[in-house]
Amino acid sequence: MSTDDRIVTLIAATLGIPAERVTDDLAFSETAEWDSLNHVNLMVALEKALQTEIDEERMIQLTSVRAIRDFAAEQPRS
Amino acid sequence: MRASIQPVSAVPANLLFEHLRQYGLPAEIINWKYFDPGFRHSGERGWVWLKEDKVKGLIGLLPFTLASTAGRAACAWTCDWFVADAARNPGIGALLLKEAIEQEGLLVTLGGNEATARMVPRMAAHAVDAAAVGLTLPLRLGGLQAYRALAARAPGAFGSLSKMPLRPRGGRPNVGVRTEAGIAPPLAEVLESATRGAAWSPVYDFDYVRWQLERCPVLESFTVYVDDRSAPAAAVVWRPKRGAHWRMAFWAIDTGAEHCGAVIDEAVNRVYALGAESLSALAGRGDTVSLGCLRAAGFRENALSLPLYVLARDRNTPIERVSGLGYADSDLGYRF
Repeated sequence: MSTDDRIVTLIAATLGIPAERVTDDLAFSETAEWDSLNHVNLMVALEKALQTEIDEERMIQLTSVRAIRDFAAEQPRS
Repeated sequence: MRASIQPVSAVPANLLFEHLRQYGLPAEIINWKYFDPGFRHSGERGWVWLKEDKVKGLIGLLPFTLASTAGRAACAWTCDWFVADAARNPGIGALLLKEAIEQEGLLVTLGGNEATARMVPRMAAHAVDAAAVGLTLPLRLGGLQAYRALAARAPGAFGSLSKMPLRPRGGRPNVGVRTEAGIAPPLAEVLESATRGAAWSPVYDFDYVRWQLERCPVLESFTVYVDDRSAPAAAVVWRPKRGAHWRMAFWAIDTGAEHCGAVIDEAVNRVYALGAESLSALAGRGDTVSLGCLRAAGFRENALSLPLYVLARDRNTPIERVSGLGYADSDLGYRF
């Protein structure tokens, strides 16, 4: 599975939405499922999947699927 | 997650002060609530998110103790959960609460706002809907909810009808009851001996109640207590300064239902004489003794119903619910 696919699967699973809804334009608070608590859950899941640390400065920037994809692409392959 | 969230004790007071002022908390309330040395406690008063050397997020805490026949547990009520520009700082509120749970071990939320209702139930180890219910005894026309709703719709149309009495002046209780301004020292003994059963309930000491209901700059209070050490019972009664609507919290031992009734009756008589339009109390939905005493004195349930959430680092915590609830809990006392 590619990193992109893993990210889509992870976002869909964390937010509890179908993978088809995980488009680049999907962003925090634009869907009821992506609220403050699920945003933290998503960041924790992302840390685990990418084996990296996300501090809160970064957390408040990763508010769209596009931003998360870009962030994942910057990470060293695990 | 790595978070630079700090305990309130590590943050300069002026930064916390500036943050809370943004949310409309008056300076006198902030000083009393967070910086009054009369609130002696052993625990953090909250956790903050610092950004660019400013407090941008806070979850306030009020340390207290829960007790039951099983033991005692250090705990804290949550309050003042504010994140600046929350829409642009997603997740900070949840992160603050998660950090507070992790660091403190056990938190309890009673009531709360829309954000609380949306987020806290999903983070709670245990949730109890309608854990506490409000009860009111209208004493004058202004104490009737229907009248207040009408008067709010047509301000000034009802003149001074709000002061029209709804009840005759009450008789004297048939046991010895005393009243003192402020929080009277005999309350200490009552707080110490108040019944604690198998259910977990909040335990406050004299300093805590004095801080909350006497030292609070916007309240005025008095204490009613039974002058009988065999069955201690006492109530603290308070209002916003010069307000017409009063509140009450009371403590007793189970065998003291008669004394509890006497304390409540005296509280009612006293506030009535002071021109009160209503007297209200809060009780746990399962607190049958408290509810029975209040109903016997004529109190009836109002629309207030508060959920309770137990937030625990160990989600298998044996503390699933909290009984013995009242207006002395959390920061409900001054929020009229």
